[in-house]
Formats: sequence, structure tokens, C-alpha cells
Amino acid sequence: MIEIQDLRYRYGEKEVIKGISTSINDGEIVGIIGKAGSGKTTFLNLLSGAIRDFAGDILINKRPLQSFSRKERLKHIGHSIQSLPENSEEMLFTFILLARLPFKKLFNPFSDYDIQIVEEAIEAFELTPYRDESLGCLSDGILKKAMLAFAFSRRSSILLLDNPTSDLDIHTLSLLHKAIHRYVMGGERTVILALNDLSFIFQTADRVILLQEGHLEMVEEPLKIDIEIIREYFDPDVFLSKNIYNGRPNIHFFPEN
Amino acid sequence: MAIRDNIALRSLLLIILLVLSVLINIVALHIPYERAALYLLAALLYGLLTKPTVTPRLRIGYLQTGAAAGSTLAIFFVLRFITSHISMIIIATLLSFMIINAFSKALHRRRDQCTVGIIINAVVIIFFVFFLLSDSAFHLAELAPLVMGYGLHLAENLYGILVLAILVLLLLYLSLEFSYELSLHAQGSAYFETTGWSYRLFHRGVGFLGDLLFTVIFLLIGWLGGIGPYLGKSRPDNFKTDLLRFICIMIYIQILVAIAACGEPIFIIAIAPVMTYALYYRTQRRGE
Repeated sequence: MIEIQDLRYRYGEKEVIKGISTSINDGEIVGIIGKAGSGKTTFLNLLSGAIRDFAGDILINKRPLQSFSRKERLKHIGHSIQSLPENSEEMLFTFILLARLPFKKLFNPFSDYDIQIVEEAIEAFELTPYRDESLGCLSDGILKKAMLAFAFSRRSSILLLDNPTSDLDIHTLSLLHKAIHRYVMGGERTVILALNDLSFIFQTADRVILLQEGHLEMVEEPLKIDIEIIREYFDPDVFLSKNIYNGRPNIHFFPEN
Repeated sequence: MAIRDNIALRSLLLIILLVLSVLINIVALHIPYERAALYLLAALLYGLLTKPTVTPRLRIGYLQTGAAAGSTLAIFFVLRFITSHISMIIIATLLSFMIINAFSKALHRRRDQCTVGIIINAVVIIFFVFFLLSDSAFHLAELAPLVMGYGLHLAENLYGILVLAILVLLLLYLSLEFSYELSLHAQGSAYFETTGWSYRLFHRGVGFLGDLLFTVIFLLIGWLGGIGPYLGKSRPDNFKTDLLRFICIMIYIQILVAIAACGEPIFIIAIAPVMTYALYYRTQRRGE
């Protein structure tokens, strides 16, 4: 469980996170939404421990985040990587296997469990035909899937995904949706996503945290998000429809005419 | 199946070619067998060090970066004006490699690295031409031991071969044992730091070790190396392609040794850059 108490962070003169208090349960999928510049990525970076000079408390299972050693923190909290892998000669399977390196004992090979996790991630993102290809031979879309498979292969108890849907086609979005749900299925792991794709987050998340200019404006289930909230915090010229299977909102633009 | 797609057949043909080239050098050209063995071991060490996973940012050879020319100049200066003590030679070579490699890596783009290398090479050539014209006591042949591997004669005994063999085995063991750590390091800081280790520290450690080993290699094979980064880059890094790379480097060195034995060692100062620049332009054209 993650408990956040009066979290504040200042970047230079500007306070970018302004007293956020909330809690996130194990097994939950939480989406962080807000306009550009609302503090979504900073909030994720604070939760990952990458930023340490904050005020307030972040408790992971009642233990302050600052008390985690760097290695402990990285084993507990996985953060998706935005930058492209630099060595294009690497084979896709080996690249994803590298996500398991923090769990490998020195002078020992990777365990069968590590291999199994990587095989599952490759299967989940439909990368099997490319497993022996070098990264340089892959298209941008496939490479993006490989990077997601890398993040999911960490199997950390808290997985932070920053804008994971950018550049993904609809089929990959569907794979990502399924992978996120499978990831938290046992009830022990948590996924926190920060993204601008509101429809995806409403279909995927159990709860949504809305940020505006560093303030926490609301924590709500997607089913309770209505058009007034979207118009107030995002754009007045949109309308909502409900997914006929689960009643969750989808966002649409009005036609031009 | 074409020969180029059949790695086993290619390996076999290359091994036969390697054995033939070594035999020709030893039997027909009277290269001492210790020297031939050292060239083979040094080539193996060089092949290991230029593996894409071990030195991922090594995009061009040391003849193209200008490190070879810079080191030759540094050794020449030390020998002529300071001392012939091997420790000073090693320090001068190491410093040359560290400075030129740091500058080259900072440029990122292969073409820019090569352009700077051409400038360094041109400056060094102009210096030696100027020296040749102004100092009648200086002959280009003085550079021959530097070109063929200055430290080679020091290691030309059983002890030297043993030390080099241990170094090669140690590097081979370390590169296999830490292959995943090196692979993750090759993917950049964001990926490497998921392990909790300091990327900067690891990067600097690997970089220094690389410069040190390149110094050893340069002192052993001089201008005979420099092709490692151009071989096997387009294929995934695995044992079969590694083997092919090692054999190709060994054959290349044996050919240059044969040329030096038939003609003059100083010819290598012209032939090796031509051959490596040709390989550079070939890989550049293929976008590797």
C-alpha cells in the first residue's frame, strides 16, 4: 500500500506539487490525469524515488520511501523508460531479459523463473516472431512494445507507467490494457499510469487521480467521472458516451459542423 | 545455400586460410613462431575488446579516430627526448588513447569522429614530414617498430606469451561473466540504472579499462589493428559471429605481417589506413 501525506515539491522557485495526500491500495490500477503541466510526470517521479528532495511523506507498506536503499527501491518500484535503447545490435529476447538483471545473482545465470517471465512478456505483447531479431531491425511500433515488455518483466510490486500509450496502435493498446490487468491480478502488485489518453485510462484504471497545477483535485472511480468534470478540467467542447459493456466513459469531440 | 549465409562453411574456410597464412609467415617468411603466437593472442584480445557488447560506443577503429597516430607521435617524443623506459612509453600511449578516445566519444556521430581523426592523422603526418626534412639523422624506418607493435619484442618470450594468454583468458571470462551487465550498460544510463548501480561509475570504469587494454593492444600490434569495429556489426552479437570476427582479424594481421616481411614494415603506415578506411566507407555506405 502506498500512503502519500502532504506531498510537496518545489522546482526552483515554483511549487509544482502542492500538498497531495492520498493512498493507493495493493492490486489497484490508478490513473493520473490532468492537463499538460499539471504535475503528472513529476508526481510519478516522486513516487519512483528518482526525486528525493520533497516535503511530506511517501510510505510504501508503512515504510518511508527515503529509508529504502537505492537497490531496494528499484526492486520494489519499476518505472517505464522513455528513452530508446542505445545498442541496436541487441537481440529482442536478450534486451527484455536484461530487465531481470537486478534479480540475478552475481556469477549465476538467469533463473528459469526469469526466463519464464520474459517469455510471458514476449507472448503478452505478441513479440514471439521478433524474439531473435536485433533491435535495429524492428519498426518503431514493435520497439515500443519491446520497451513495454521490458517494463512489465521487472515484476516490481509497484509499476509506474509514464505515457505508455503514445505511438501505440489500437491492437497494442488492447494488449497493454490486458497486460496491466494481468499484472495486478494476484492483488499484490499496483500499476500507476500517467497519461493524456483519457478514454484509455477510464477503461483501464480502478481509480483516477486528477491533478491541476500540482493540486490534487479529486480521486474518483471512472464510472463516476461525468461530462461536467471533463468540461471543467479539460475541454468544454467534448461529450461523453458510455461503454456498453462496463458503463465507463469514452470521450468524443463534437463534429465540426 | 550461398557461402555468405553458411556460417559453418565460412568459418571452416576462414580457419583454413588462417592456418595457411600463419604457416606461410612462419615457414616461408621466417617470422619467429613466438611472434606469430603473440600476434594471434593480441588479435584475439583486440577482437574481444571490439565486441559490440564490450565497447558499444566504439564506432570506428583507432586508425580512424587518430589514436594510433597520436600514440605513435607520443611514443616517438618520449623515445627521442625523454626516455626509452617502457613505463613511460605505456603512460604516454595510455594518455594519448584516453585523451583522443574521450574527445572522439564526445562527438557521438561516426562521421564527425572520423573527420577529427583525419585532422589528427594529417597533423601527425605533416609533423613527421617536417621532421624528416629538417633532421637528416631521422629516417622513417625508425617508426617501423612503433608501427608493427613497439612492445612486441618485450613480450617475445615464453613469459610474455603466458602473461598475454592469461590476460586474454581473463578478459574472455570477464566478458562472458558480465555479458549481461555490459549489455545493459550498452543500452544507456536509463536502462543501466534500473539495477541500482551507478552508470557513471561503471561507464568510467569500463572506459578506463578499455583505454588500458587498447594501450596494451596498440603496443603489441601497433597499426596492424583498427578493423575490429567494422566486422560483424550488422549481425547480432553471438558466438558464431564472434568467432568469424576473431578469425578475420587474425587473418588481416597475418596478411599485414606478411606484407611487412616481404617489403618494409614502414609500408604498413600507408597500407593499414587504406584498408581500414575502405572498410569504414563500406560500413558507412551500408548504414551500420
